[in-house]
Amino acid sequence: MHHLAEIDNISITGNSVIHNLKAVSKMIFALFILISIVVSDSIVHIGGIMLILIGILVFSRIPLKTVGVLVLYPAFFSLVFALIMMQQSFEHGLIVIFKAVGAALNMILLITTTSYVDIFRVLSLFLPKLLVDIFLFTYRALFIFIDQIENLIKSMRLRGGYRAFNIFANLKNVAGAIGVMVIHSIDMSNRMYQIFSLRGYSGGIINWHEDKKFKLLDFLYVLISIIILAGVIVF
Amino acid sequence: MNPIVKVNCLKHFYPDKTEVHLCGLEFLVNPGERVVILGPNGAGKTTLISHILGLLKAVDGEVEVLGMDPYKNFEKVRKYIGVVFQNVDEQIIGPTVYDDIAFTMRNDKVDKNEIDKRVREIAALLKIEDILNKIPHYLSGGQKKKVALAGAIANKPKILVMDEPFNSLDVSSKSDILFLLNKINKEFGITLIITTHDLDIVPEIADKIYLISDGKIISGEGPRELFSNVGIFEDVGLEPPILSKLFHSLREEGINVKIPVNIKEAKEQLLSVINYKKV
Repeated sequence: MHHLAEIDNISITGNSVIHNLKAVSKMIFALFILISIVVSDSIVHIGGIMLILIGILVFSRIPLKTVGVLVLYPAFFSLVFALIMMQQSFEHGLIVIFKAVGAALNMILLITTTSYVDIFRVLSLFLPKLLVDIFLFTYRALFIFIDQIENLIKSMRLRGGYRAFNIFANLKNVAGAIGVMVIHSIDMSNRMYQIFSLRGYSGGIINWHEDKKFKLLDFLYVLISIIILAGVIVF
Repeated sequence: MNPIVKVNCLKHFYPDKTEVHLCGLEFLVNPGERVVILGPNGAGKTTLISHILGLLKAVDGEVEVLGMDPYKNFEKVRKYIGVVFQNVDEQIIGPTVYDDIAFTMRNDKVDKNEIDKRVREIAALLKIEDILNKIPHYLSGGQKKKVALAGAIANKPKILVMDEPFNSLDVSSKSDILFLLNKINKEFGITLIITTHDLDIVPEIADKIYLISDGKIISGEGPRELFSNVGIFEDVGLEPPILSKLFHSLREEGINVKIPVNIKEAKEQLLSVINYKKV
């Protein structure tokens, strides 16, 4: 919850050059960088890409301490595969970790410099309207829902519903809590639908922000990603 | 004067077969009026509001808003009604405060410059200019209430419906919201329909009070008339306002005082009794 709200805040209130680029150019950049990371088998290449990404994050005034924590998750989970690969060579194992962390950094750069609505707007060009609506509803509801889950867990623990080493009782209580949350979420979605209707929403993505124009910087940003991809393939 | 809202003998069935039958007095709201709906939990306040908003279809009875059936003419009526629900967290939709205030206007295809002008005007009115670029998750309860209120009045509605607007607010936020509601009623002539449990602030916000109990609208009077009748609150299971209770017991002791509706009146009454005794 904390990270989600923080990312939301950084992406919406940020005012760097990268924040002011068009969402579509940032998404193309992210796509090319992702392909570069996937196709590359060189630790130098991936390391170089990671340095570039960190450089852009710093340039965009994204607090590295906040996003650094998020990189730890893929690093941790890729460790298992990395250990297997390390039986072949140490470098192969390191590449697995670098690929996971590099891809995560790439996505972090995208979501901390582009608001979720702008990302959905680009996605709406390819996805059915209904699906984009679902994304939009779900995203707003998520914050409220997570708050409710936190409160429910707190109340469950305070009422003795969670005890260490009592797996079966815990599972039973957690299952009950999930059931309650499902009912809450149905109620909540109903109320939110009513509010959306009363506020004039009749479907489709809302034009939250003034649509930015394609500027030279947008082309340059995309060009950098193309050069990186070409560099990875050629060298 | 033609009433702007008219509800008569409304009947509604919920999916769990709960029946709400609001009969008794006719619920009438005149343009520019401040109307408060009082009643214990489960009395039918939210059902009444939902019908006025056109969210529910009445099985029986009459519901008219601006001369139209709000359920059948939802899109037409919606444009004239602003609403603030009890849980404002579910109501704030925009990624930033600015976007949320502009939400309804954008849906109604209002010109961009006009939207910007109106958002800034309303933000200045509600004193939330400094949080326009903030994201909603970090706002306090009072700020969220103000943002929801700003979003509700941005489209210049004729009627503002608020469900328990003073719930879970501290004293300062409560008086802020109270002041703002009276201000928008006076300056823009917006009709207010409010449900609340907070009896002590009702006289400050009501021209007319409808008391609902057990599916019956049992009273539709001004605060002075209603608050003089302490027994009526006890009958419906509500705690009477503290001033009414105090002055009612003074009257029972034989002291000749009128039931006041606010602190100022209470002070005047008490001072006149004290001065009379001194003389």
